[in-house]
Amino acid sequence: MLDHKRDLKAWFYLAIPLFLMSIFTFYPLVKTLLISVFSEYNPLTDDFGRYFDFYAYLAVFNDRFFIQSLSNSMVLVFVSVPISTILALLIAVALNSIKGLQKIFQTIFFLPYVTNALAIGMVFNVMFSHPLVSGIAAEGLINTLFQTSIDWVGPTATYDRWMLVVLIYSIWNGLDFKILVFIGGLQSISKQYYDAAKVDGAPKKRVFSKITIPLLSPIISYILVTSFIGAFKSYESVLAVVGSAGRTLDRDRWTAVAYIYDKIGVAGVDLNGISYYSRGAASAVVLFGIIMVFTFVNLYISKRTVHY
Amino acid sequence: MHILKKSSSLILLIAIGIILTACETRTSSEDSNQSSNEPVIQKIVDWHELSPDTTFDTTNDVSITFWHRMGASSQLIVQRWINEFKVLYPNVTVLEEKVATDYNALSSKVALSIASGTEPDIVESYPDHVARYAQAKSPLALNHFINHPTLGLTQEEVDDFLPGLWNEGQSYDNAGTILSLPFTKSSEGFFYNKGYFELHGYVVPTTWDQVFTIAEDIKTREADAIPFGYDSSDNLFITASKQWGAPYTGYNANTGNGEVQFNNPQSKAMVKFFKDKVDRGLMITRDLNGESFTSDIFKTNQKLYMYVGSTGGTRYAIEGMQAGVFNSGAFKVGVAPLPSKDASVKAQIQQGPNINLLKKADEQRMIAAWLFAKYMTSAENSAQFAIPSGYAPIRYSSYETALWTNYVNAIVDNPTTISQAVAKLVKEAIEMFLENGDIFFTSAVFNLSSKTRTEVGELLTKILAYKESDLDAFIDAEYQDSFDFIVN
Amino acid sequence: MITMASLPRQDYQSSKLRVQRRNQFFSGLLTYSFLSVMAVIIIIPFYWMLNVSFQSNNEVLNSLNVSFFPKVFSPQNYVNTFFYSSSAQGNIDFSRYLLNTTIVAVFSTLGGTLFSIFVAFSLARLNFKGRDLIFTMLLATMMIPGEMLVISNFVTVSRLGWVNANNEGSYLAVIIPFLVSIFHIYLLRQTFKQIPNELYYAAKVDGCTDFKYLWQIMVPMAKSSIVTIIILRVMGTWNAYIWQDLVANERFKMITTWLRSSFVDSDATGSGRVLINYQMAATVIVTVPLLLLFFFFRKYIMRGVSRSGIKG
Repeated sequence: MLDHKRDLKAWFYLAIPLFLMSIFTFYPLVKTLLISVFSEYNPLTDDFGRYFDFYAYLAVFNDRFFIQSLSNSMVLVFVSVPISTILALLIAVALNSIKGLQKIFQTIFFLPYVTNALAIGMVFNVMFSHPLVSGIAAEGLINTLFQTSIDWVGPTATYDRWMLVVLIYSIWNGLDFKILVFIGGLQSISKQYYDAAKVDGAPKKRVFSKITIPLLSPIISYILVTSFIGAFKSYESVLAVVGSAGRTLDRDRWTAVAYIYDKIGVAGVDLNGISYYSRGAASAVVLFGIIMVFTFVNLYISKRTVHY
Repeated sequence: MHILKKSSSLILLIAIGIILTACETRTSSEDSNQSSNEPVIQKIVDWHELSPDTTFDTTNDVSITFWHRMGASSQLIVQRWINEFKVLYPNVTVLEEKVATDYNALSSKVALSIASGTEPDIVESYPDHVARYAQAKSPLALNHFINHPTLGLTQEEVDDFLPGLWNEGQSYDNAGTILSLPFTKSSEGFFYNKGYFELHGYVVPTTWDQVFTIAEDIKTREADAIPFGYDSSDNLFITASKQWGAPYTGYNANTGNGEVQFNNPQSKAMVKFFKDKVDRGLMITRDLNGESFTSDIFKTNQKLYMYVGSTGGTRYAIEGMQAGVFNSGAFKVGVAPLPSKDASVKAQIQQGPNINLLKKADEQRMIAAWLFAKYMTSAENSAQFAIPSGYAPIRYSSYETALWTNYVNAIVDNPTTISQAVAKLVKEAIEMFLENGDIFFTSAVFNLSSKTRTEVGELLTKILAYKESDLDAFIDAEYQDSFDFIVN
Repeated sequence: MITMASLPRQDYQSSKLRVQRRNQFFSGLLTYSFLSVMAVIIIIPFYWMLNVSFQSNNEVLNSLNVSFFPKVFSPQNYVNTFFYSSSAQGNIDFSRYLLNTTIVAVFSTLGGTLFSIFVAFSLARLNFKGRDLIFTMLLATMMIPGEMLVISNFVTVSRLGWVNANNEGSYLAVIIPFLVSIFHIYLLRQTFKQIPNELYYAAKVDGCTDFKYLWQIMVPMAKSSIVTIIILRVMGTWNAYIWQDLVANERFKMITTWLRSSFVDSDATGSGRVLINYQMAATVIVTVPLLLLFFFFRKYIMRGVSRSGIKG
């Protein structure tokens, strides 16, 4: 009887939020799925067209630019997320453990959170800029500091150099959110555990691995899951590295989301009669599937390792 | 695990679906193979049949909306026009609204409003945007409105528009559908350091060969100079393509649809011409200059003595110059039309937004919008709008208005301050625009045209910056790759 | 051989203490050095913002090279930003944008946080059929890139008459679609799940209702996560640009619009160059008070949390 009561209660808590979500998130999601199987969808008239088929998916899988963009996104995900998470964890733990100057450091680490994205993009531009014809405009900071003349992010930059800068940016950019969440998580670990450890004379490393990490594990799992998902959706951050107005992303530097946005932004149909918007929707669904798979893997690992 | 099973079966289902459809043949929506040799004429939208004896009903109230992205001072001018128009047609209420701060946002909003059925009557737009709206058959074809005996324009009035600008309104298909009227226009100008030219006896060049002969001469005198700059890579590619006779984009003879055509040998020859100049240190573009405008260097009276930039940015040729360099007017700037490959085949792009109308169910509403659009593009109003902002009026008779003559009379012939010099240069740029009103060309407009434009700019930059030895192979590969990417 | 262990007890203790203290010193040094290095790296963009905000117009528009320090120190930029008759914005001024942003921030934060608490509570604490399915579905909504939702949501919001509404509809258009955020819900759910079951059962035995349990026990214990969510929401509102630009009427737009579209050097024509020094000065003006606000807010809460814990 108690269970039954709880059943209804839960829906009371969920009713309004679920209602809002169904209109503003579930509905568009389902619509995207539908559009991906109607390959003549017209976004301006909301007309699904005559064809119900998987041609949009075929076009997506045959498109080498999509495959390339997927691999770019994967590199971003599997390199920047772990590094960024570990770094943020170390910083958060360090911040939490110091006594003197804590105020100052905390303020400093909160700064990127309030720094305008435009400013950050500008900084990267200044740091890595490189004039393609020398003699007039100056080299960027990095090139000046190391006395090199490398094109890092411009049209003639090699893939590796480009990816390196993007990874640095992604790691850097992701730090503020993670630090914020980790600090919040650390704060809620009861002091009692630390006091007990102190009494036992446990060394710092032990405290870290046997107390802090396990007690923080739900938060770490949250960060990993959401960061993986977020990194798969990278777009604006990568665009920011390219820098100033009007420059678009070079095609072999596209992330999966850049590909999607490009496709849904073109009106009309391609040479095979397939609507670009449908192709975009199909690629979004494919990306969705990939993210879903990795998230399940993540959650499965969490079930084994997270302590509540 | 349970959910994993569910999703893997879903994926399996989709995979089967894909395999099945791969075996289907798709019925084509258009007849692509025509046996006849007649080029297909395809209207982008149906022309609204405005009957010749329709009149505008001045008794019923009508309300129309005009969406744009102008700044405050331009907006004030439009509001003034609205008040004047109200006196002419008391039953028409015009609501002007600034709905965005840049054109991409404006275009997105209009597209969204079409999808939700709340679109405006008149929009400030670029041709690519209109091509997009045409996906919903939303733009209003103005042909019958223009030709209407009482409500339209006379042949004289049509001829009064600068031909190059008027033609853009018809570049949406190969059937002559007119979807827009020119509004705020500019072009590119060849700006040169007049003082330096006079000092060394240079004649203002009319061909590229002449430009680079001068550049070579400058280079012997100043070894680390880069005498010529061209700001916009995409404009360079498109304009030079026209001048070299290299196809860029066009309408397919069989289908009547727009298509990408730049992957050809003439185009590559054109690019190699400029690549040679860049390699020899004679030329630079904005992309090669770390995104800084070439006029920034021009203003230092060193290294760069000629550049091609937008006439809308004429003032930057002088504004911002150090006082010592300006030297109370000793630094002089001249402006000339764009050089060409052959002196006989001149071509120059024109830029800037137009206004276009959108279809509405109520014909009277469309007529009201048309009348207001006509009003905004009248000679007097065009002069009013353009001159303060340094853009060029779109009609020949604008240059006979009192506004223009007063403006010209206020110009100081030998400027000693920067603002006087700027005013003089702006006037010369506008005059140059006027005198060349017939060499403006437009490219085909279709769903891939803006993507193509961006891509060729990048393509050009890549080739110009390429430093290895196998140039031809690189050019071929890059061209192919760019082409594949756009039509992909 | 004399080892530490073979020393007399007192000496052994003090040696151990010395070693311990030395270790502490080095680990402290390591910590501080690490934090300092990270801090310097992290502070660079903020420094750059300040640097540019003090540069003169001339340097911003015409200088061919970048410099670490303004060539001509121009603090008047800060004054000028307020009075800059931005030709791009007409007669809507800074205080209006500030008002709009504040209203949206307040309602979005209040409503959003409330919903996050309710949903996280049901997902973490309550048992009901379909709980895991709902959680998975919610998680799935994070996996679609935002642009895919724009057209549908625009049409929906348009049908409600909120798009470009010259009234509160504009606020609703900006707030409502994003009120429920699975990012926040997920975080809070994790935090709620850390609260021991025993506490709940004990409370139930005492006759405590779920609602009371939520507000009197769970929420105070999850304070730091809730504070985090509040901060995330406010910052999110402050930085929001794309959606509000699309749906809100000019008079109801938010501060990011003011930041990005003002300070254009030439008139209306689209070829104007942005005066980034004013733009950066404006950004600093807008963010420094935020910084101060949150700094004090956080400190207050953190003091509270470290004192709470499981009592009796």
